[in-house]
Amino acid sequence: MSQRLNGYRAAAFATKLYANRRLIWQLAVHNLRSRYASTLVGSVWAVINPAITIAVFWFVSAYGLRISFEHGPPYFLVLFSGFIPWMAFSDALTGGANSVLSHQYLVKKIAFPLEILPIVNIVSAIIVHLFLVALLIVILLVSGVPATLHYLQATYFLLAMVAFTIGVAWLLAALNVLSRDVGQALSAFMTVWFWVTPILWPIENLSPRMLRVIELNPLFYVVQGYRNAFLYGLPLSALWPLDVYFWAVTAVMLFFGAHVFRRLKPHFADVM
Amino acid sequence: MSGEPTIVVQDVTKKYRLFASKRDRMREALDPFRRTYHREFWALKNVSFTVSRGQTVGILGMNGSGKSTLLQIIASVLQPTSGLVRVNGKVAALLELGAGFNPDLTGRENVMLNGTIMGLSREQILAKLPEIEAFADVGEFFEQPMKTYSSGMFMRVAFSTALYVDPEVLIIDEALSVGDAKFQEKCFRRFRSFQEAGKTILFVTHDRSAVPRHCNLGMLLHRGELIKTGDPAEVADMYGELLTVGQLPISRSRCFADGSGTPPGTDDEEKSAAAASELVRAFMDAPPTEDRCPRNPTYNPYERRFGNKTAEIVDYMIVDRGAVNPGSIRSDTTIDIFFKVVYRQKIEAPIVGAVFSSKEGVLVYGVQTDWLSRRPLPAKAGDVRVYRLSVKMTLAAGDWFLQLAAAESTADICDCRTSMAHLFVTDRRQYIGLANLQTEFEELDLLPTTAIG
Repeated sequence: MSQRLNGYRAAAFATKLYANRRLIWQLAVHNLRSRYASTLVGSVWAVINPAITIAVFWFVSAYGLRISFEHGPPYFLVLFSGFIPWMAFSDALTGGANSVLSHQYLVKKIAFPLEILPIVNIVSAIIVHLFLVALLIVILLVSGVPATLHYLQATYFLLAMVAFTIGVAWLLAALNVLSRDVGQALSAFMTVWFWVTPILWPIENLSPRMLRVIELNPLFYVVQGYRNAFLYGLPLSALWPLDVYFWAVTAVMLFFGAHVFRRLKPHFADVM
Repeated sequence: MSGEPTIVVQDVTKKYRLFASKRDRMREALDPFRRTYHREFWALKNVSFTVSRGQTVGILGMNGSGKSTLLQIIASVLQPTSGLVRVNGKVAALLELGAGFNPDLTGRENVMLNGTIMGLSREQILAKLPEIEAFADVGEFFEQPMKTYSSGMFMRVAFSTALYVDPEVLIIDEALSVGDAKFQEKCFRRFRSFQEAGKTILFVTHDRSAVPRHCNLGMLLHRGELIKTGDPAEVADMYGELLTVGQLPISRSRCFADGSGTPPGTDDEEKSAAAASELVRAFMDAPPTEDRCPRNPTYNPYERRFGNKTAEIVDYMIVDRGAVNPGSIRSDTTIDIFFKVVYRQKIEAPIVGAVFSSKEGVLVYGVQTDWLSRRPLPAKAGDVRVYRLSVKMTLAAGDWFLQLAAAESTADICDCRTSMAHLFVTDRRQYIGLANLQTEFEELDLLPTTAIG
């Protein structure tokens, strides 16, 4: 019974998303524009900032910490291809967690489908992400790594990350309205999350037992998936059976997040 | 007034949950056993009504009477606790200044965004944009972020958008009061074309005079209950009484509230006239030992009082067609203003007078006994006198303030109480300005010779 109810709600939500697609797009673009409004080069910052961060991380890790990957492609590419999905996730989640608060003008005194707000921030994160993916492909081609059809697999991992993020963002966005502590705690937690995800460091040095633990991080699946697609040319099945685990976690997050969002939604206007 | 109803509200009740803290709110929202952690507050109780196509509804009520809650439920911003609301057609709602508008975006971008929220396609919005821009009339500010707008400009853009997205139902919560008079007039003119197009308008206002002038249905909410629906002028009158007296005038409200009773006829008027003359006698007899003015329901506690106090105004009473100190006065009726003066010293030739001014302080009419060629009797210390001024209230609908004064000469003011009484005038005739100059219109036939010549 509740299975069918959930299915029904998911379908209704998909319809709502489709009906509001232009609105989501418009809000996402405004979102980006207002972030870079009154800057000279505008949205170029959206690409320059992460590029500089990656360059600094690369310099410090490769020359300061002397982290190196013995086999395979150059460390810079490993870092870059792992860093950009993380960037997108981090942007989408922090933006999504603040999405209800930051769209105050749509919450109070207007009939608005609030559950699309976290999606808006996820969409704007993806727009930036696509530019970075383009930059990655250019760098790959320049470095002489042959382009393969495996690149297309990145689309799947992007969708996987989006699905996971929607669930978490619903949960956090709703809780954040009622208690601003959530936003603060999230920024602390994101630092930890960054370091437990193999972005800067190679997983080759991990013991098999440690690897089992590290793999439980859903972002591990996404980051490694990106690398498999862009660098190692491995097929989709390379991470099996992690796929099952990832989608199970994602499904739980989606249902839980949607449930909490729905329960707290009537309170938003009262407390903002 | 015909056709199927646009809005049906059936037995709607809204209960607010009041939480002692945010923590209790979160606890209740997420409690797996759905335990409660709140106190209840009833914002609306069993409200039912229907509105037909083309009706303009004015909703009146004191602060906290549930007006805004009702509009929010009809606009589906809030869910009723129980009851049913059905609205046929697209709703545009202006519930709060700023709602639905991103302060960081320009006026133009916000209009685009709002149109999208209202479900219009890009082409439709682009087609309407010039009209919206022209109606809002904010000039170059249309290209500036809305955070730089004055509240008046904000309202203009919000209003223009709502008017032009082509809703079947337009809901306005006091937003109009921010605009200047010219823009308000423009909006009301636009309302009329809405009415003609068979669209429905619901608006909440504090401007009682606007309800009879622009609406064809009035509603009065009091403590969450709909106590009167019907003729806008009658609803405005009743609201006026509610405001000045502070509670429902039971005898009159009951017979109207359910629509079953009959309006007070001549019998009642005679009865009330008799009651009034009794009250006038009581007024005359009341001992002049203290200032009784503040007991009058029309008394304005923010009056300004000055004078040398050799004579003092200690009481006043206003009688309108047998109603004593009425909450509202129909334009064109003659009212009697009684006031009592106590003389502290001998004054050979006292002068008394009255002044009417608008709430902006514009003096509209002032008169004194000298100018009326009347001489009140000489008074000696300890004398108590009651005077009566009969004034034909041709003032326009709205709020007016009455000043009463007693003086020895124009230079020697004994007691002047400026804006002592607050009067409210209603009028269902339309005109602008401060007074009704009662114009007659006639179109003359041209003589055939003139036409040829």
